[in-house]
Amino acid sequence: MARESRSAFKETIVRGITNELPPGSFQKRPYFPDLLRQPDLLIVPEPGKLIAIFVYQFTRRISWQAALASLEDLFEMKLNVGSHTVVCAIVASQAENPESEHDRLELLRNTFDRFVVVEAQNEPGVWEDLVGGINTSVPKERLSAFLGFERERSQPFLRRFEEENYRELTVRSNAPIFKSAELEDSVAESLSRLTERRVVRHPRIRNVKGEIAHLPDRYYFEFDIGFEGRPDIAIEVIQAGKHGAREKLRSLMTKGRLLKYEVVDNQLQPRAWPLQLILIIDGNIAGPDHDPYRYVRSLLSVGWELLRVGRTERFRELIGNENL
Amino acid sequence: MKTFRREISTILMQLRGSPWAGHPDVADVIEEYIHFERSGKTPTQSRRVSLQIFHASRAIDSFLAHIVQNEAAKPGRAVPPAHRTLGSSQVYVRDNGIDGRHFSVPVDGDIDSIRNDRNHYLHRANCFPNDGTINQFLNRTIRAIGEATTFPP
Repeated sequence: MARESRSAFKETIVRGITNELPPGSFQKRPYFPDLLRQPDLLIVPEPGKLIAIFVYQFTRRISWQAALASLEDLFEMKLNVGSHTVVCAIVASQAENPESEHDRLELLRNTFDRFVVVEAQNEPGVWEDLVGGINTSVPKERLSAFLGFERERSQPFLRRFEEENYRELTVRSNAPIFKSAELEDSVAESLSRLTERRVVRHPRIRNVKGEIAHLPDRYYFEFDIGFEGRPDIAIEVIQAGKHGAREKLRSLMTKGRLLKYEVVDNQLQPRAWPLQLILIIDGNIAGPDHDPYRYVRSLLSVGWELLRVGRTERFRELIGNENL
Repeated sequence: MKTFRREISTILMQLRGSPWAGHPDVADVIEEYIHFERSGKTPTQSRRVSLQIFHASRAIDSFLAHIVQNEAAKPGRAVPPAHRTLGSSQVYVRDNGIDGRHFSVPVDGDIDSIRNDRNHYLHRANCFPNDGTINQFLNRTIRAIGEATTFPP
Protein backbone atom coordinates (compact mmCIF):
# COMPACT_ATOMS: atom_id res chain seq x y z
CA MET A 1 0.00 0.00 0.00
CA ALA A 2 1.29 3.44 -0.89
CA ARG A 3 2.76 5.59 1.86
CA GLU A 4 0.23 8.37 1.04
CA SER A 5 -2.70 6.04 1.50
CA ARG A 6 -1.33 4.79 4.85
CA SER A 7 -0.83 8.30 6.10
CA ALA A 8 -4.32 9.33 4.88
CA PHE A 9 -5.81 6.44 6.84
CA LYS A 10 -3.96 7.51 9.98
CA GLU A 11 -5.09 11.07 9.56
CA THR A 12 -8.70 9.99 9.16
CA ILE A 13 -8.56 7.90 12.31
CA VAL A 14 -6.78 10.57 14.37
CA ARG A 15 -9.13 13.30 13.14
CA GLY A 16 -12.19 11.16 13.80
CA ILE A 17 -11.08 10.57 17.39
CA THR A 18 -9.89 14.09 18.18
CA ASN A 19 -13.16 15.59 16.89
CA GLU A 20 -14.82 13.84 19.82
CA LEU A 21 -12.34 15.12 22.43
CA PRO A 22 -12.23 18.42 24.32
CA PRO A 23 -9.40 20.73 23.17
CA GLY A 24 -6.28 20.46 25.30
CA SER A 25 -6.96 16.86 26.28
CA PHE A 26 -4.91 15.32 23.46
CA GLN A 27 -1.70 15.68 21.49
CA LYS A 28 -1.24 14.52 17.93
CA ARG A 29 2.23 13.20 17.04
CA PRO A 30 3.79 13.39 20.52
CA TYR A 31 7.52 13.01 21.04
CA PHE A 32 9.19 10.67 23.51
CA PRO A 33 12.98 10.62 23.01
CA ASP A 34 13.52 6.90 23.57
CA LEU A 35 10.68 5.37 21.57
CA LEU A 36 11.55 3.75 18.27
CA ARG A 37 8.08 4.61 16.99
CA GLN A 38 5.99 7.44 18.38
CA PRO A 39 2.30 6.93 19.13
CA ASP A 40 -0.06 8.71 16.74
CA LEU A 41 -2.08 10.26 19.52
CA LEU A 42 -1.90 10.87 23.28
CA ILE A 43 -5.02 11.52 25.32
CA VAL A 44 -5.41 12.60 28.93
CA PRO A 45 -9.17 12.16 29.52
CA GLU A 46 -8.76 13.05 33.20
CA PRO A 47 -5.78 13.90 35.45
CA GLY A 48 -3.75 10.77 36.18
CA LYS A 49 -4.89 8.83 33.12
CA LEU A 50 -2.73 8.63 30.00
CA ILE A 51 -3.80 6.89 26.80
CA ALA A 52 -1.48 6.27 23.84
CA ILE A 53 -2.92 5.30 20.47
CA PHE A 54 -1.03 3.56 17.69
CA VAL A 55 -2.72 3.36 14.30
CA TYR A 56 -1.58 0.52 12.08
CA GLN A 57 -2.33 0.08 8.43
CA PHE A 58 -0.56 -3.09 7.46
CA THR A 59 0.24 -3.76 3.86
CA ARG A 60 -1.52 -6.60 2.02
CA ARG A 61 -0.72 -9.04 4.78
CA ILE A 62 0.43 -8.82 8.37
CA SER A 63 3.91 -10.27 8.55
CA TRP A 64 5.36 -11.56 11.80
CA GLN A 65 7.95 -8.81 11.55
CA ALA A 66 5.20 -6.17 11.47
CA ALA A 67 3.29 -7.81 14.33
CA LEU A 68 6.41 -8.05 16.51
CA ALA A 69 7.33 -4.44 15.69
CA SER A 70 3.85 -3.36 16.83
CA LEU A 71 4.24 -5.39 20.01
CA GLU A 72 7.50 -3.53 20.65
CA ASP A 73 5.55 -0.24 20.53
CA LEU A 74 3.42 -1.53 23.39
CA PHE A 75 6.42 -2.71 25.43
CA GLU A 76 8.27 0.57 24.96
CA MET A 77 5.28 2.67 26.00
CA LYS A 78 4.83 0.58 29.14
CA LEU A 79 8.53 0.56 30.02
CA ASN A 80 9.45 4.14 29.07
CA VAL A 81 6.28 6.05 29.84
CA GLY A 82 4.89 3.88 32.60
CA SER A 83 2.79 0.79 33.12
CA HIS A 84 -0.13 3.06 34.06
CA THR A 85 -0.35 4.09 30.38
CA VAL A 86 -3.29 2.60 28.49
CA VAL A 87 -1.91 1.54 25.11
CA CYS A 88 -4.38 1.07 22.26
CA ALA A 89 -3.87 -0.33 18.77
CA ILE A 90 -6.25 0.63 15.98
CA VAL A 91 -5.90 -1.54 12.92
CA ALA A 92 -7.46 -1.00 9.50
CA SER A 93 -9.74 -3.81 8.53
CA GLN A 94 -8.24 -5.92 5.74
CA ALA A 95 -10.42 -6.98 2.84
CA GLU A 96 -9.64 -10.52 3.81
CA ASN A 97 -7.52 -11.74 6.66
CA PRO A 98 -6.23 -15.14 5.68
CA GLU A 99 -6.29 -17.81 8.36
CA SER A 100 -2.49 -17.70 8.51
CA GLU A 101 -2.64 -14.16 9.92
CA HIS A 102 -5.11 -15.02 12.65
CA ASP A 103 -2.46 -15.60 15.32
CA ARG A 104 -0.71 -12.31 14.48
CA LEU A 105 -3.92 -10.39 15.06
CA GLU A 106 -4.59 -12.40 18.24
CA LEU A 107 -1.08 -11.58 19.46
CA LEU A 108 -1.94 -7.88 19.29
CA ARG A 109 -5.51 -8.29 20.52
CA ASN A 110 -4.38 -10.18 23.62
CA THR A 111 -1.53 -7.88 24.57
CA PHE A 112 -2.63 -4.28 23.84
CA ASP A 113 -4.88 -2.76 26.48
CA ARG A 114 -7.40 -2.11 23.75
CA PHE A 115 -7.36 -3.48 20.24
CA VAL A 116 -9.81 -2.22 17.66
CA VAL A 117 -10.26 -3.20 14.05
CA VAL A 118 -11.86 -0.27 12.27
CA GLU A 119 -14.26 -1.39 9.60
CA ALA A 120 -16.77 1.26 8.57
CA GLN A 121 -15.52 4.76 9.30
CA ASN A 122 -18.53 6.57 7.93
CA GLU A 123 -21.30 4.97 9.94
CA PRO A 124 -23.00 7.39 12.34
CA GLY A 125 -21.74 7.18 15.92
CA VAL A 126 -18.65 5.14 15.06
CA TRP A 127 -16.20 7.71 16.44
CA GLU A 128 -18.24 8.36 19.56
CA ASP A 129 -18.29 4.63 20.32
CA LEU A 130 -14.60 4.28 19.59
CA VAL A 131 -13.63 7.18 21.86
CA GLY A 132 -16.02 5.98 24.59
CA GLY A 133 -14.36 2.56 24.50
CA ILE A 134 -10.85 3.97 24.50
CA ASN A 135 -11.51 6.38 27.37
CA THR A 136 -12.86 3.62 29.60
CA SER A 137 -10.01 1.19 28.89
CA VAL A 138 -7.66 0.24 31.70
CA PRO A 139 -4.15 -1.29 31.62
CA LYS A 140 -4.15 -5.08 31.40
CA GLU A 141 -2.39 -6.89 34.22
CA ARG A 142 -1.34 -9.79 32.02
CA LEU A 143 2.06 -8.37 31.09
CA SER A 144 3.03 -7.13 34.57
CA ALA A 145 5.46 -9.95 35.40
CA PHE A 146 7.09 -9.78 31.98
CA LEU A 147 7.47 -5.99 32.11
CA GLY A 148 8.84 -6.15 35.67
CA PHE A 149 11.53 -8.60 34.54
CA GLU A 150 12.31 -6.50 31.47
CA ARG A 151 12.73 -3.33 33.50
CA GLU A 152 15.11 -5.06 35.86
CA ARG A 153 17.09 -7.04 33.30
CA SER A 154 17.83 -4.14 30.96
CA GLN A 155 20.17 -2.56 33.53
CA PRO A 156 23.09 -5.02 33.38
CA PHE A 157 22.83 -5.04 29.58
CA LEU A 158 22.98 -1.25 29.45
CA ARG A 159 26.12 -1.17 31.59
CA ARG A 160 27.98 -2.65 28.60
CA PHE A 161 27.32 0.51 26.61
CA GLU A 162 30.48 2.41 25.80
CA GLU A 163 30.37 4.82 22.90
CA GLU A 164 33.76 3.92 21.43
CA ASN A 165 32.74 0.28 20.94
CA TYR A 166 29.78 1.25 18.77
CA ARG A 167 30.89 4.50 17.12
CA GLU A 168 31.22 3.00 13.64
CA LEU A 169 27.62 1.82 13.74
CA THR A 170 26.42 5.40 14.14
CA VAL A 171 28.31 6.90 11.20
CA ARG A 172 25.74 7.73 8.53
CA SER A 173 28.27 7.52 5.72
CA ASN A 174 28.89 3.85 6.54
CA ALA A 175 26.63 2.44 3.84
CA PRO A 176 26.04 -1.30 3.31
CA ILE A 177 28.98 -2.91 1.52
CA PHE A 178 27.44 -6.23 0.45
CA LYS A 179 24.74 -7.02 -2.07
CA SER A 180 21.79 -8.15 0.03
CA ALA A 181 21.66 -11.59 -1.62
CA GLU A 182 25.30 -12.25 -0.72
CA LEU A 183 25.40 -10.82 2.78
CA GLU A 184 24.28 -13.80 4.85
CA ASP A 185 26.44 -16.33 2.98
CA SER A 186 29.45 -14.12 3.20
CA VAL A 187 29.05 -13.55 6.97
CA ALA A 188 28.42 -17.26 7.59
CA GLU A 189 31.57 -18.17 5.72
CA SER A 190 33.72 -15.63 7.49
CA LEU A 191 32.40 -16.64 10.94
CA SER A 192 33.05 -20.28 10.20
CA ARG A 193 36.62 -19.45 9.21
CA LEU A 194 37.15 -17.18 12.18
CA THR A 195 35.85 -19.60 14.79
CA GLU A 196 36.82 -22.87 13.10
CA ARG A 197 33.32 -24.05 13.89
CA ARG A 198 30.68 -25.40 11.59
CA VAL A 199 27.82 -22.93 11.11
CA VAL A 200 24.15 -23.91 11.19
CA ARG A 201 21.86 -21.96 8.89
CA HIS A 202 18.47 -20.75 10.12
CA PRO A 203 18.43 -22.29 13.61
CA ARG A 204 15.13 -21.98 15.49
CA ILE A 205 14.79 -21.13 19.17
CA ARG A 206 11.67 -21.46 21.30
CA ASN A 207 10.18 -18.19 22.59
CA VAL A 208 7.41 -17.24 25.02
CA LYS A 209 5.25 -15.33 22.54
CA GLY A 210 2.44 -17.86 22.83
CA GLU A 211 2.42 -17.84 26.62
CA ILE A 212 2.55 -14.05 26.90
CA ALA A 213 -0.29 -13.54 24.46
CA HIS A 214 -2.29 -16.64 25.40
CA LEU A 215 -1.96 -18.17 21.96
CA PRO A 216 -2.51 -21.90 21.57
CA ASP A 217 0.69 -22.80 19.73
CA ARG A 218 4.37 -23.08 20.64
CA TYR A 219 6.44 -20.51 18.80
CA TYR A 220 10.02 -20.38 17.60
CA PHE A 221 12.16 -17.55 16.26
CA GLU A 222 14.37 -18.27 13.32
CA PHE A 223 17.86 -16.79 13.16
CA ASP A 224 20.22 -16.40 10.23
CA ILE A 225 23.21 -18.23 11.68
CA GLY A 226 24.09 -20.49 14.61
CA PHE A 227 26.94 -22.86 15.47
CA GLU A 228 26.94 -26.60 15.70
CA GLY A 229 27.24 -27.59 19.36
CA ARG A 230 26.48 -24.06 20.59
CA PRO A 231 22.69 -23.73 20.79
CA ASP A 232 23.22 -20.75 23.10
CA ILE A 233 24.45 -18.54 20.26
CA ALA A 234 22.05 -16.97 17.76
CA ILE A 235 23.09 -14.53 15.07
CA GLU A 236 21.06 -12.16 12.92
CA VAL A 237 22.55 -10.33 9.98
CA ILE A 238 20.90 -7.14 8.72
CA GLN A 239 21.46 -4.37 6.25
CA ALA A 240 20.61 -0.90 7.42
CA GLY A 241 21.44 2.57 6.27
CA LYS A 242 20.01 5.37 4.28
CA HIS A 243 16.46 4.10 4.12
CA GLY A 244 16.49 2.88 7.70
CA ALA A 245 15.32 -0.44 9.03
CA ARG A 246 13.11 0.72 11.82
CA GLU A 247 10.46 -1.97 11.53
CA LYS A 248 13.19 -4.60 11.48
CA LEU A 249 14.90 -3.03 14.51
CA ARG A 250 11.62 -2.88 16.43
CA SER A 251 10.92 -6.52 15.69
CA LEU A 252 14.47 -7.43 16.78
CA MET A 253 13.79 -5.65 20.07
CA THR A 254 10.79 -7.89 20.72
CA LYS A 255 12.76 -10.92 19.61
CA GLY A 256 15.46 -10.09 22.16
CA ARG A 257 12.90 -9.59 24.91
CA LEU A 258 10.88 -12.74 24.30
CA LEU A 259 13.95 -14.98 24.17
CA LYS A 260 15.10 -14.11 27.66
CA TYR A 261 12.40 -16.13 29.38
CA GLU A 262 10.85 -19.54 29.63
CA VAL A 263 7.68 -20.78 31.24
CA VAL A 264 8.06 -23.35 33.99
CA ASP A 265 4.98 -24.58 35.89
CA ASN A 266 2.94 -21.85 34.24
CA GLN A 267 5.29 -19.20 35.63
CA LEU A 268 7.34 -16.88 33.47
CA GLN A 269 10.98 -16.89 34.54
CA PRO A 270 14.38 -15.97 33.12
CA ARG A 271 15.96 -18.73 31.02
CA ALA A 272 18.07 -21.20 32.95
CA TRP A 273 20.79 -20.87 30.25
CA PRO A 274 20.92 -17.40 28.75
CA LEU A 275 21.30 -16.96 25.02
CA GLN A 276 23.98 -14.89 23.34
CA LEU A 277 22.21 -12.81 20.73
CA ILE A 278 24.52 -11.22 18.22
CA LEU A 279 23.43 -8.77 15.55
CA ILE A 280 25.83 -8.22 12.68
CA ILE A 281 25.10 -5.00 10.83
CA ASP A 282 26.06 -4.13 7.28
CA GLY A 283 25.70 -0.35 7.11
CA ASN A 284 24.76 1.80 10.08
CA ILE A 285 22.02 2.25 12.66
CA ALA A 286 22.63 5.92 13.41
CA GLY A 287 19.92 7.61 15.43
CA PRO A 288 18.89 11.26 15.07
CA ASP A 289 21.63 13.92 15.29
CA HIS A 290 20.89 14.77 18.91
CA ASP A 291 20.99 11.09 19.92
CA PRO A 292 23.04 9.04 17.43
CA TYR A 293 23.28 6.05 19.79
CA ARG A 294 19.53 5.68 20.26
CA TYR A 295 19.20 2.40 18.35
CA VAL A 296 22.47 1.03 19.69
CA ARG A 297 21.32 1.65 23.28
CA SER A 298 17.89 0.16 22.62
CA LEU A 299 19.21 -3.04 21.10
CA LEU A 300 21.81 -3.46 23.84
CA SER A 301 19.15 -2.96 26.49
CA VAL A 302 17.25 -6.07 25.40
CA GLY A 303 20.32 -8.27 25.20
CA TRP A 304 21.73 -7.94 21.69
CA GLU A 305 25.47 -7.56 21.17
CA LEU A 306 26.23 -5.51 18.07
CA LEU A 307 29.03 -5.93 15.56
CA ARG A 308 29.67 -4.22 12.28
CA VAL A 309 30.13 -6.53 9.33
CA GLY A 310 33.82 -6.84 8.49
CA ARG A 311 34.72 -5.91 12.07
CA THR A 312 34.15 -9.27 13.64
CA GLU A 313 37.47 -9.40 15.55
CA ARG A 314 35.50 -9.22 18.79
CA PHE A 315 33.41 -12.18 17.78
CA ARG A 316 35.66 -14.91 19.13
CA GLU A 317 35.94 -13.04 22.40
CA LEU A 318 32.13 -12.78 22.58
CA ILE A 319 31.35 -16.41 21.96
CA GLY A 320 34.14 -17.56 24.25
CA ASN A 321 32.44 -15.78 27.13
CA GLU A 322 29.36 -17.71 28.04
CA ASN A 323 28.29 -15.08 30.54
CA LEU A 324 28.04 -12.31 27.96
CA MET B 1 14.38 28.92 15.51
CA LYS B 2 13.34 25.86 17.47
CA THR B 3 10.65 26.30 20.13
CA PHE B 4 10.46 22.65 21.32
CA ARG B 5 6.71 22.94 21.37
CA ARG B 6 6.13 19.31 20.49
CA GLU B 7 8.55 18.06 23.16
CA ILE B 8 7.08 20.30 25.86
CA SER B 9 3.50 19.35 24.95
CA THR B 10 4.47 15.70 25.41
CA ILE B 11 6.03 16.36 28.82
CA LEU B 12 2.88 18.20 29.85
CA MET B 13 0.66 15.31 28.70
CA GLN B 14 2.92 12.83 30.45
CA LEU B 15 2.83 14.75 33.74
CA ARG B 16 -0.93 15.37 33.59
CA GLY B 17 -1.56 11.71 32.79
CA SER B 18 0.80 10.31 35.43
CA PRO B 19 -0.17 9.06 38.89
CA TRP B 20 1.67 12.11 40.25
CA ALA B 21 -0.73 14.53 38.56
CA GLY B 22 -2.85 15.16 41.65
CA HIS B 23 0.07 16.31 43.82
CA PRO B 24 0.07 20.11 44.34
CA ASP B 25 3.86 20.36 43.88
CA VAL B 26 3.52 18.66 40.50
CA ALA B 27 0.98 21.29 39.47
CA ASP B 28 3.81 23.82 39.91
CA VAL B 29 6.07 21.71 37.70
CA ILE B 30 3.35 21.67 35.05
CA GLU B 31 3.10 25.48 35.30
CA GLU B 32 6.87 25.72 34.93
CA TYR B 33 6.70 23.81 31.65
CA ILE B 34 3.94 26.14 30.47
CA HIS B 35 6.37 29.02 31.12
CA PHE B 36 8.97 27.09 29.13
CA GLU B 37 6.54 26.70 26.24
CA ARG B 38 5.86 30.45 26.25
CA SER B 39 9.57 31.26 26.37
CA GLY B 40 9.79 29.86 22.83
CA LYS B 41 8.20 33.12 21.66
CA THR B 42 11.18 35.18 22.88
CA PRO B 43 12.75 36.37 19.62
CA THR B 44 16.36 36.88 20.75
CA GLN B 45 18.29 33.62 20.70
CA SER B 46 20.45 34.32 23.76
CA ARG B 47 17.46 35.37 25.86
CA ARG B 48 15.34 32.49 24.64
CA VAL B 49 17.88 29.77 25.45
CA SER B 50 18.65 31.35 28.84
CA LEU B 51 14.97 31.14 29.68
CA GLN B 52 14.68 27.62 28.33
CA ILE B 53 17.56 26.39 30.50
CA PHE B 54 16.13 28.27 33.47
CA HIS B 55 12.62 26.78 33.17
CA ALA B 56 13.76 23.24 32.28
CA SER B 57 16.17 23.26 35.23
CA ARG B 58 13.62 24.49 37.73
CA ALA B 59 11.10 21.96 36.49
CA ILE B 60 13.33 18.91 36.76
CA ASP B 61 14.86 20.01 40.09
CA SER B 62 11.41 20.56 41.57
CA PHE B 63 9.91 17.34 40.22
CA LEU B 64 12.71 15.10 41.46
CA ALA B 65 12.80 16.92 44.80
CA HIS B 66 9.06 16.32 45.16
CA ILE B 67 9.42 12.62 44.36
CA VAL B 68 12.18 12.31 46.94
CA GLN B 69 10.25 14.23 49.61
CA ASN B 70 7.18 12.09 48.93
CA GLU B 71 9.23 8.90 49.30
CA ALA B 72 11.02 10.10 52.44
CA ALA B 73 7.66 10.87 54.05
CA LYS B 74 6.67 7.18 53.92
CA PRO B 75 7.23 5.23 57.15
CA GLY B 76 10.63 3.59 57.47
CA ARG B 77 12.23 5.43 54.54
CA ALA B 78 15.56 7.27 54.63
CA VAL B 79 15.44 10.93 55.66
CA PRO B 80 15.29 13.39 52.76
CA PRO B 81 18.40 15.31 51.70
CA ALA B 82 18.99 18.75 53.21
CA HIS B 83 18.81 20.48 49.80
CA ARG B 84 16.27 20.28 46.99
CA THR B 85 18.92 20.27 44.29
CA LEU B 86 19.13 17.90 41.34
CA GLY B 87 22.31 16.29 42.67
CA SER B 88 20.84 15.66 46.12
CA SER B 89 17.71 14.07 44.66
CA GLN B 90 19.78 11.93 42.30
CA VAL B 91 21.96 10.66 45.15
CA TYR B 92 18.87 9.88 47.24
CA VAL B 93 17.31 7.85 44.42
CA ARG B 94 20.62 6.10 43.76
CA ASP B 95 21.09 5.16 47.43
CA ASN B 96 17.53 4.47 48.50
CA GLY B 97 15.36 4.09 45.43
CA ILE B 98 11.74 5.15 45.06
CA ASP B 99 9.54 2.26 46.12
CA GLY B 100 12.44 -0.04 45.22
CA ARG B 101 12.98 1.52 41.79
CA HIS B 102 16.08 3.38 40.59
CA PHE B 103 17.00 5.46 37.57
CA SER B 104 18.27 3.37 34.68
CA VAL B 105 21.96 3.59 33.84
CA PRO B 106 21.49 5.94 30.84
CA VAL B 107 19.10 8.24 32.70
CA ASP B 108 21.43 8.43 35.68
CA GLY B 109 24.11 9.49 33.17
CA ASP B 110 21.66 11.96 31.62
CA ILE B 111 21.13 13.61 35.02
CA ASP B 112 24.91 13.98 35.41
CA SER B 113 25.05 15.60 31.98
CA ILE B 114 22.13 17.94 32.72
CA ARG B 115 23.93 19.19 35.82
CA ASN B 116 27.27 19.59 34.04
CA ASP B 117 25.78 21.27 30.96
CA ARG B 118 23.82 23.84 32.82
CA ASN B 119 26.70 24.61 35.18
CA HIS B 120 28.81 25.16 32.09
CA TYR B 121 26.44 27.81 30.74
CA LEU B 122 25.40 29.31 34.07
CA HIS B 123 28.94 30.04 35.18
CA ARG B 124 30.55 31.31 31.97
CA ALA B 125 29.89 34.89 30.88
CA ASN B 126 28.50 35.46 27.38
CA CYS B 127 28.32 31.75 26.66
CA PHE B 128 25.07 30.38 25.17
CA PRO B 129 24.19 26.96 23.83
CA ASN B 130 22.95 26.56 20.26
CA ASP B 131 19.65 24.86 19.37
CA GLY B 132 21.40 21.49 18.99
CA THR B 133 22.81 21.62 22.51
CA ILE B 134 19.49 22.79 23.90
CA ASN B 135 17.79 19.95 22.03
CA GLN B 136 20.15 17.43 23.64
CA PHE B 137 19.72 19.08 27.05
CA LEU B 138 15.96 19.02 26.71
CA ASN B 139 15.91 15.42 25.54
CA ARG B 140 17.84 14.45 28.63
CA THR B 141 15.43 16.28 30.90
CA ILE B 142 12.49 14.63 29.10
CA ARG B 143 14.04 11.20 29.60
CA ALA B 144 14.70 11.89 33.27
CA ILE B 145 11.25 13.36 33.93
CA GLY B 146 9.68 10.54 31.93
CA GLU B 147 11.43 7.86 33.92
CA ALA B 148 10.65 9.63 37.20
CA THR B 149 6.92 9.63 36.37
CA THR B 150 7.08 5.82 36.10
CA PHE B 151 8.02 5.61 39.80
CA PRO B 152 4.96 4.82 41.88
CA PRO B 153 3.90 7.69 44.21
